[in-house]
Amino acid sequence: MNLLAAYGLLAHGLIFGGLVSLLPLGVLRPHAALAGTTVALLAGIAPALHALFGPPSLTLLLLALLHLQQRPLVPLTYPAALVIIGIAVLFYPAALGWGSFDPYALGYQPLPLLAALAPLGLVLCWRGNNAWLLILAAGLAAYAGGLFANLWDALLDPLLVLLALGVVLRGLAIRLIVARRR
Amino acid sequence: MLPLPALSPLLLRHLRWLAPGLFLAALAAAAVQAPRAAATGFVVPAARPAPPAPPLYQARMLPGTGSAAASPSLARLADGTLVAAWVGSAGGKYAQDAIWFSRLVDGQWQEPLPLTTREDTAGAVFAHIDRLAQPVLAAAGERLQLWYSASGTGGLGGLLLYSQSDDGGHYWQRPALRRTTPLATRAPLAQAPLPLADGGFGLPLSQSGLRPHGAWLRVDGAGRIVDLRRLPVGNANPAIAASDDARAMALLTTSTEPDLAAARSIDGGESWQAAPAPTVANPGTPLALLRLTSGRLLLAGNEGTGRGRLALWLSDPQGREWHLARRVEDAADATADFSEPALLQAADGRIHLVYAWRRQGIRHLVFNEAWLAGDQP
Repeated sequence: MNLLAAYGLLAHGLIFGGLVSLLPLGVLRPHAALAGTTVALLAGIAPALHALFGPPSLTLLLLALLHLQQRPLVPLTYPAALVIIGIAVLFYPAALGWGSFDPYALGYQPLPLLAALAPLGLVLCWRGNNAWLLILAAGLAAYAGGLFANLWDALLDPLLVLLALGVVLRGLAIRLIVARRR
Repeated sequence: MLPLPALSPLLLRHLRWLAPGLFLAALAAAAVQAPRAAATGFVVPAARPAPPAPPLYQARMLPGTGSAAASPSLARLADGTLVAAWVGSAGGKYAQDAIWFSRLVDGQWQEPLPLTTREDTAGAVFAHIDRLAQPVLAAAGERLQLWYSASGTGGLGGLLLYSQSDDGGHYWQRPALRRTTPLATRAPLAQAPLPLADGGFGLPLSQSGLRPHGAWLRVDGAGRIVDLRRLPVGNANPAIAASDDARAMALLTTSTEPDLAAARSIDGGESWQAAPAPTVANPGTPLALLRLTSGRLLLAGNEGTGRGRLALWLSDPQGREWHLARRVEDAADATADFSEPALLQAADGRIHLVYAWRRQGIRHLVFNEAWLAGDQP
């Protein structure tokens, strides 16, 4: 069995359940999330997402799992989302052909990338952001364990960037509404 | 919802040391496991003049596999047996339902067998697959690598798949996912892979995105991706041939000019620089480039506009001076589509060319350098 393929299918199922749990359903939220995960796996939604987007990053999967808890944990705050979007703005255009440097290729021999993650880990440790330290640790462990051949695939994916964009837009909308009420 | 147990107070008290410790441990583990691909070189036999022989030209069609066939690929096993793979219909609603495989035995192509189907691939990678495309065979001894792409619902998305046979194509492992882009966009592989000195292969591929471009993908003998290098010029359909263990030439099609673009490497594919390109008008369709045993380069591709004319060009070993050698197809009717060539030179010096013939079948030509040197294209 292809481990990456199995991971991709299950992860998309759980991420779909996590998306459903974002809906304002009150006491029905836990049941809707469970139903969403089940439907995604059985009704072809997860396989379709898998073909469209490929296996998701471990970062996105863990954010979905944390949100599926009975008391949801939401490490994807406004500042964290801004950081993710900032990385995406630099990464994706270059990786998709803009310019001569391909940052995605770095992920196959990622020693420079790992060296860049070390100061990020120091900053997270200094700020006491244990949730993100553990999320990054899980992604690095998945790469070290051979689940991903490219380190970028373990840490970042387009659905995560879309989610971060949603968090930022939601934060901006709230700020706008609060400013207008003053 | 996931009824995860509450973290114990003891664990919470130590989390401020546990989290950084786990991060450092994972970082160290990743650094230890990170591959360190040493520089390698191409595997290129020394050039020798073509033995004197009368012109040879043979043409045949590969056995049919339904109403559609495209994207053929050729490889040669250690015992000299030629094998071919192509995408075709398996009786489903799409013309790209299956990858077919056949061997050339005693001058005859054997009955093709489906190497994988759309359903097999979908079941192996747990993804909804609509169609298969662009199989590429790479042979090292009795081991055969198969690379191909697949798209999802409505032809959207794109997955790169890899399978392997250790017995010359009789038994194939279940396909596994590979990735060459951060988005699941189509990144079709081009023909043909180049063997590397470390036992792996270099695979040219086209990548779509903000700016479509060609790339050089380095894989090891087990099909693991080791490195990826972007080609500095051109947009698609890279065709690469090596002239010695360090030097190679890449030709690509462009979306802005009717002529081709060229790039060279002098360090075994580690880096690529723009180079003078041949003045060959091409409509942006796939190319095939082969270094002949005589050292000269042979280019196959569509000439002019459209896919109705398939031609062969020859050049000196440095790829500087190109001339039209032969036109193998020249038709102007509505169904004239002769494209996606693949070239291979066998141990006996014969040159094999396969290409999609009117999208209905695969045509196989066998010729030699004496035929290429004939009077009229």
